[in-house]
Amino acid sequence: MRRRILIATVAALLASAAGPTLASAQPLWWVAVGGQAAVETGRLADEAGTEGGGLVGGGVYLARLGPVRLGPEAEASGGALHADLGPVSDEVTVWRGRLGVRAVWWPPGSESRLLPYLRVGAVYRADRGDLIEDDGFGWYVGGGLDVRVAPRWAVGPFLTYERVGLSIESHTLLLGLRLTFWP
Amino acid sequence: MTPLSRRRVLAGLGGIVVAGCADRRRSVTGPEAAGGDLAFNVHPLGGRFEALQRDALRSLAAPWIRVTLGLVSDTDAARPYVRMGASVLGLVADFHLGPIDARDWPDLVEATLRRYPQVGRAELLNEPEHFNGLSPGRYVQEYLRPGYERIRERSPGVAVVAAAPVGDRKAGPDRFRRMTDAGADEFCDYRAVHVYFDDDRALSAFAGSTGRPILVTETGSQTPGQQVRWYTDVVPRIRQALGAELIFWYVLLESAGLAGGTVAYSYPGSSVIAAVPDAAGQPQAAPGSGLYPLLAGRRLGRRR
Repeated sequence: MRRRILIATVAALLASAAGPTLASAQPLWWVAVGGQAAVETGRLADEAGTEGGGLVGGGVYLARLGPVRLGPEAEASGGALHADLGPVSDEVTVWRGRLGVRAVWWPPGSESRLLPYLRVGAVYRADRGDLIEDDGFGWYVGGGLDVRVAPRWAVGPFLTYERVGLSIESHTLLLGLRLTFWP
Repeated sequence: MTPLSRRRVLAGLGGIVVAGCADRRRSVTGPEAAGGDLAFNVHPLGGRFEALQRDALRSLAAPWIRVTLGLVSDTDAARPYVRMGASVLGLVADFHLGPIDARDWPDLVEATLRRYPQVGRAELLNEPEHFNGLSPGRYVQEYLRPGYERIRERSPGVAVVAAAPVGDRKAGPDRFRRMTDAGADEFCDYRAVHVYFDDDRALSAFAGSTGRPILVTETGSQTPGQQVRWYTDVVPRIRQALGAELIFWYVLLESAGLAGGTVAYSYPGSSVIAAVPDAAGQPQAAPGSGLYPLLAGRRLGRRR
């Protein structure tokens, strides 16, 4: 198994170095950057406004189930929101770390420019402001669509829903745009 | 420091009796509602919040308020609230937390009460172990006793309330008993407790640890959706278990800016009213809470 992974990695690196076509490039790993807006849909919305921020992430495709490629993903993001705390307000920085699994629809030899994916995992969120200090763990589920614009590049929207056990459980919908690169 | 304990900084809390201020011992328990009449902790917020809170207190007909008087900072902040014509449980503490020089303490108490002659009962510090770094024994000997003696000497009409320890079910009863062991009952007219738990054994521990009448100077729920249940289900049991003459809800309108540190998002959830008035300019319920309309409506019903 390890040998197969090693061979696949070497093959992917060689292929990418050679400038693969859309059809031939099925890389082993990816990195991404993006921007996102987060909207609270639960009780926390009484206090937390819409959040804007950026993210960086990456992952590895470790397995294939038919047309689906599976693997772990990790992501870190930072954002800012305005918190209405009644008589006072606060500008809050929101940090997130995600660890999960991503499944992308990418059949062998596919020439499709569209790569839809689903993802699920665990998230840690920490909010810090002059007045607010809150953090907690939770889960997320989401999906997106990578549109391949070049052999190694894709850009596309994503939608994620997460719940985090802050002092008031957050129910957050995150909508964003991600730029993905396959080395 | 937990969000709940930070919340209890109580930079401003107080009590006013809307009626019957001459009789500090009268019971405010009403038979018409399960939770009975509620007194309120009030942060002495200025600006637009002053009128908002005063209107709300009138609507609630709060029998008492408990308000921080300030020792050296914002010493006039509570003035608009204590002038509402009701009796006041004044919290003799400062808005800035930290150590207080024991040598200055009696003079600070005297000056504070002189500034606020409306105060009928004076609570000497708030959760002193937590906010002032005082052990129960040191609080009683170096602060409660000198403060009590100074009040007896210079303001004999003011009843003295010993500070409540932290309001959790484990530490609270133990610290309360340690205060008693240090002689707290000898240097006060009332003992205060904070009850942020629903535990009959802990309440019994409080009741069995003092010979003085008990005032619940803080209770309530940080979850807006639980406030009505806390009032209708828990408050009556607290009142009965402790024989408490007065129960102060924490808090009319919370302000994270007075917490003395960072807080969690749930911190303002103890508010009973929203920070903004309704379209008619009147106080309205805090988001998710039904307590304000319940209490204000009950008062209107009694008037009819």
